[in-house]
Amino acid sequence: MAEAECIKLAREGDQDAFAQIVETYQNPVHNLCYRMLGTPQAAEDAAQESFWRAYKNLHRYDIKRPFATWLLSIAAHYCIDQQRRKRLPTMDLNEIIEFTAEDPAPNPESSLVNVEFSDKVQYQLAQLSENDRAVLILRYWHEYSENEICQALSISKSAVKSRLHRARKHMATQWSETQSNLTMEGRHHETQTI
Amino acid sequence: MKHKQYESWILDEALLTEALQQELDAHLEVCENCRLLRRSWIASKQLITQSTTQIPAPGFTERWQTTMLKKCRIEKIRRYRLTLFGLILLAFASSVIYMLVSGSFIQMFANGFTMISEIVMGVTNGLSTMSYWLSHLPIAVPVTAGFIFFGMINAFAMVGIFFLWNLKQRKLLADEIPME
Repeated sequence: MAEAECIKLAREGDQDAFAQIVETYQNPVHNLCYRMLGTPQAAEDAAQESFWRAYKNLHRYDIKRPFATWLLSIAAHYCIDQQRRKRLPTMDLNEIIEFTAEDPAPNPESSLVNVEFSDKVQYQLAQLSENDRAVLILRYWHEYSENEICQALSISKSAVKSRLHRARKHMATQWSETQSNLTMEGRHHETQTI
Repeated sequence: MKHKQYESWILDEALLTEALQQELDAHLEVCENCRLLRRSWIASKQLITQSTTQIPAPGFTERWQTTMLKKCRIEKIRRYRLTLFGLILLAFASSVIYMLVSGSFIQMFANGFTMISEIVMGVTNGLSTMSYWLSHLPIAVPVTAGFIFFGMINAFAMVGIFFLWNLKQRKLLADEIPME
């Protein structure tokens, strides 16, 4: 069934049609929530809540706008609200690695590489403010243009630009700090070995 | 040096003309900070692009359907309660307005006051009649009646205390039995 048809039927109260929408968009919505909130359980709850809000407010959806943008804007706003209510606790990198390493995976080698990348990114994202994080996630994980981010987060283009700039700078600084810490630890370890 | 400008060129992914690109390259040759910033941002961006999409656990749609049914039910109950509460509030408000407008509120208040006064007067009359009869009877009768009356009160109190004690014992016994 086409997306427009599904939306039309769901608006008329067809729950199965909306279930099809959920099936289609579960991955991007869950990914956005995970990147925003940091844990799979929080992401699951937030994704479920986002779909519920979308279902309840489906009559408000403007069919001229892309559905994905509308849906992700609901998820992003919900996650930002959640973050404001309960600030994301800064997790230790080792804790995150231990937590994610428990996930089952078909290919251990590739998954280990993915986990490493994912955790570093998640650690860096956790240091950002919720608004900057949302902009960065939409830009790089969902490949949204600046205009689409404006629509999704209901902010001006200049706000998107400044938030993106701040987020990129923060990510870069975080990365260089992590690298210098690692270098210092390596040197310390070498000295101890000698 | 215009660090802000170069920082913007590095981070904002702006499409630079050949001349501007050359200017940036020349600056990077001499500026360690900007070079580090660019290297860090490239590495960070690589980290982002290499990270995988986090997919939900299998059965997300089924879980959503269950959640939706539950939430729909809760929403229905909430709406029903809200309507009921609204109707009760409306009925109460309209009756108060009616009473205030028609003057029956003061009438009702006076009636209530009269009723309470009549009950108090009845109880007082009853007590004085009882004391009159008690003073004209032989002393053994009121004493016996008193014993029976206070004896009954004591008996009821003891039954009540035993009932509470029994309840407490049962609860303690239930807490000790482990749940299977």
